[in-house]
Amino acid sequence: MADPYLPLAIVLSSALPGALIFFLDEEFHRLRTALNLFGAIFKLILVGWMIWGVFHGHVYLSHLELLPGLELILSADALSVLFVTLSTVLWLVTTIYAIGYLEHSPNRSRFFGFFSLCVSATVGIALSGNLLTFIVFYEILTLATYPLVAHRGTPEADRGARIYLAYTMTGGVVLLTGAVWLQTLIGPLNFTQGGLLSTAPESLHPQFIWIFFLLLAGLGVKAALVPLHGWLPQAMVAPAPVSALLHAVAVVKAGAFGIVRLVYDLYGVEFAYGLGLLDVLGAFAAATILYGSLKALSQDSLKKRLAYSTVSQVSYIALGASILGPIATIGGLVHLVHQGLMKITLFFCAGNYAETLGIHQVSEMNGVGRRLPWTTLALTVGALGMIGVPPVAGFVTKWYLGLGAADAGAYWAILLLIASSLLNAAYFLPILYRAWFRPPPPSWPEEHRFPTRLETDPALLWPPLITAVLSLGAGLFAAAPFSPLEWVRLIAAREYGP
Amino acid sequence: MNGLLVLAVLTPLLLAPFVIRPYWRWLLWIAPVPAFGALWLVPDTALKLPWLLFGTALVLDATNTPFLLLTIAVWSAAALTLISAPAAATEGARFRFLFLVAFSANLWLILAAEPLGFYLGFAAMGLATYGLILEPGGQRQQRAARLYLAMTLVAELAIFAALVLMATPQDLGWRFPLPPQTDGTTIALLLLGLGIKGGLMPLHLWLPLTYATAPLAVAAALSGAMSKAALLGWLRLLPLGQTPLPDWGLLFIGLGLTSLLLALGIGLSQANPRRILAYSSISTSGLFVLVLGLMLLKPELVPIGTPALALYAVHHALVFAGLFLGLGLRKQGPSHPRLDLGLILLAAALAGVPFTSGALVKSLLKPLLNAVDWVWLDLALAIAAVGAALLMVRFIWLIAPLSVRPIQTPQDKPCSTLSFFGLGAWFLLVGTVIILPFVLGGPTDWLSNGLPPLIAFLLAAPVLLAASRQAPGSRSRPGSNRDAWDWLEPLILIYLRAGQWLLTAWSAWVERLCRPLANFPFLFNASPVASVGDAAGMTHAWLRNGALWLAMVACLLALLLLT
Repeated sequence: MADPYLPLAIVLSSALPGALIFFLDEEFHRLRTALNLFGAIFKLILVGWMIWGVFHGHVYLSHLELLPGLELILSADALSVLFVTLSTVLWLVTTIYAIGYLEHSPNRSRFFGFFSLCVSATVGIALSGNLLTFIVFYEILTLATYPLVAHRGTPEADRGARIYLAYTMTGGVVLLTGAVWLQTLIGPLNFTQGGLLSTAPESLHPQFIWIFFLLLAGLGVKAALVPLHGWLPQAMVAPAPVSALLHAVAVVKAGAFGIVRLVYDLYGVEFAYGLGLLDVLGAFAAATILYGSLKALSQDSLKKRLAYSTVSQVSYIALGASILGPIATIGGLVHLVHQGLMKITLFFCAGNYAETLGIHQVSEMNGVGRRLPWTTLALTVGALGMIGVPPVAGFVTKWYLGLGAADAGAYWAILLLIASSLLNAAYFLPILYRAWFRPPPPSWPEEHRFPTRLETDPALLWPPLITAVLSLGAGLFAAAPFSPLEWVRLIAAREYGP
Repeated sequence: MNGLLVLAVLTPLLLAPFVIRPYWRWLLWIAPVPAFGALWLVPDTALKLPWLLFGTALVLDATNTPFLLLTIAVWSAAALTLISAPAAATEGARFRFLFLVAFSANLWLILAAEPLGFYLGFAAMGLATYGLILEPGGQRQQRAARLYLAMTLVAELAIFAALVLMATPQDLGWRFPLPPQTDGTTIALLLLGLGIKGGLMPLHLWLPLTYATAPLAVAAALSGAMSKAALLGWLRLLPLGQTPLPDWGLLFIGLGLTSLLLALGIGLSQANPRRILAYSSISTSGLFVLVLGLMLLKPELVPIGTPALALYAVHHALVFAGLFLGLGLRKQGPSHPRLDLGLILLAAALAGVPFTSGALVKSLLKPLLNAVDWVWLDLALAIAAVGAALLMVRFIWLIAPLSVRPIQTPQDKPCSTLSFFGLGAWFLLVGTVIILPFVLGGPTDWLSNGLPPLIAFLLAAPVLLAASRQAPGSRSRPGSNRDAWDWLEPLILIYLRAGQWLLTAWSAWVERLCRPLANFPFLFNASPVASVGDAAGMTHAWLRNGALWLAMVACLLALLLLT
């Protein structure tokens, strides 16, 4: 017996408060905060319910037929629950952070309205049961994030947002083209565990290869695969909570999640391997991983360095998908969560440095550990996790990717992981060295004092600490029940069958 | 009771946030207590932690018990000297925090019952130590720490790759001892990764620099406890005791022998006592790898080889911690004749003088080293034994002038009461080294290995005598043994000629070796001496420079070739 209401309720639990917030006046600060937090917490409860249900094999399915053959489907499998949980938890944390961050800036109603829409779209992407639904939410996401990137209204923000829109709209068109082409060939494109295309007649295979590249290009824009990554460093003009959301939860992750759906639930990983598509994906992922890290090395702007780091790290997910075998799949999928936790921590910290001390450049970070010890501690956890130092979550990813590569005989991937770890160390460790071991300057660029005994505003301090603890916990307790790793193992077991 | 295992690892980690405040720094002293308690657990106690990491476990078995013992001893002694050292307000906070983190990680890597736990401890320890080496943050410390960090990262990634390759065919719930895997890449990666930590040549580049600049308590912990992670790793991870691996065995023996001899040669030409200890440590790593090579060659040696190596590690750890901490105490407090005596005793133990722990462990290794009858190996080992003893004579010679101390500055005074604990801990350490052979060995062990130190002493004695006679403000009575000096002069002249010849050749060789490493000019400081004065003047210059010590080795070589 399929439950049609829960997926819909999860999408609406953020969309409705978001819609209401649009109509609130700026000064209704408390009501807006209450709506935001109510939506976030309510969603969390619903998601908890869904986790329990999916774990026990319940079926959730809502659908709406637009035309015969064109259906919008919301459903929940283990993979969607993984992404939904990530978005929901991090949305709550980011909302708290954003409330603290934008305390005194204008247009807060507009901001939080689009913020909620953005998360609704992400959850919609996660719960999409077919490619059409996926594309609908994917486009909503593009439109909902544009005002967030442009929020500051400066010429620089406008430019960044325009570049973002140009990239993602083009990507959306390419994606749609591919989807329409595929649908005309084989009919409705419902995501199916094990893939949909392997039963199609062999004469269509050459076309499948072309369609794969179209779809990959469309998704690769958001996933920031080189050479389609150009918008990401430009979008850094957005306020810190938006960057955090963009990099860890919404946009980049939506692209990566789409690639995972494409490989596993549309083409089927073994079928894609048979067509030689995984090698191409692997090559793109490898190039992106190295290129992103190399670019990050030379960035002095902290947020830009983090942005290029995202370019590099998100491709771990694609790398996992490009290696055949359940272990590499686990490594890639679990990074969906791990990268989110660690990267959001890093962006929160970057926001704290900017808001509290006016620090934007890595070269200004000398001795910042003395002034903001807790923030810098969170930054340390996130950075070490990115390098893959145990027991932070990043290590779990690296270990499973390495294991999967060795299992599949893809030894180049082990070399790639080692090179990437070294590069990550090369651009993260100098930050930590400056923060902890260099003496602080006589005065900070632009210091704000908050009326608190803590080092900065509590709404800014707690989110990075929570996500840092989660990053640490996800690695340290990787074998605990309902840890990201255990959940991903469940997904892999269902994907590859007994 | 099994909970003691996890408590041993956790206690330092939980105390770490507290010791940030100088007021709480005495907690450093509490940190090792649960680990000490864990030592008394029944052998083969295991504790499963199924939800931690990928399902890990802690274990206390025959292999890691000696390592636990030495780790606790070294870190406790280092902690005690830290508590008693004068507090340096804020700089010390970070240092004490990282000290406990590194300690906790070191305990974890020893107690881990599976490779990933070992790796976790190894990685965390390596990174935390970076911050310790950086203290107090001068230019030299920065350079040392940077090199250390770069090489440590390479080591960690090599071990990561090795573990990834080893884990492939098995389930994830693996435990020590591992099923043997003779995959060449894995062994090579383990050799690389752990060789860096152990300081095996040519992967030792970070070691002399670090030992020479790090705070002495850190140098003690590094040389005593942390470098032993390499040996434990090899014992745990290499495919020992199954099929013979002649190729790998010979490679290990070759590399080990190179380290063993070359490090002694370079060590003799050093003028800094801490560098001498560093090269001695590299040389010992060479010995470990040599013995491991023999065990790879002949698997039947493993049952006796493993405990012998572990005991050697205990001896080496205690002696090295004692030497470095002793140097630290000398720097801190007023001159203390008993301190000098203790240092000489420790150096004697390292040289393997009879009735010391050095003699004991050398006699335990004998059956292994005699298991193959290669003349060249015996020859090389004999040279190494004398060389090691000579190195210790040189060490004592170099620290001796320090005992004439400048007047103490007033701010050194307040620590003298606290330093009681540091001194007490140190004497306890020295005492342990002294009684070790009598507890663990029999009379045959005490008396073995008498010859090499004797030869070394005989080789060194005339030079030392001559030099100390000629030293400004020397302690020898004028005119009392002038005849002896007359008699010695030709001998010393021969030494000098031989030394000059050897030095020229050696410098040229080292220079050729160093050319690709031009960025690391700090590795060797054997610079040729230009001035040629009278014999006594030359003796002095060269004593400082170390060429004379090489000449002694040359004489030894000649002697051996004649016999």
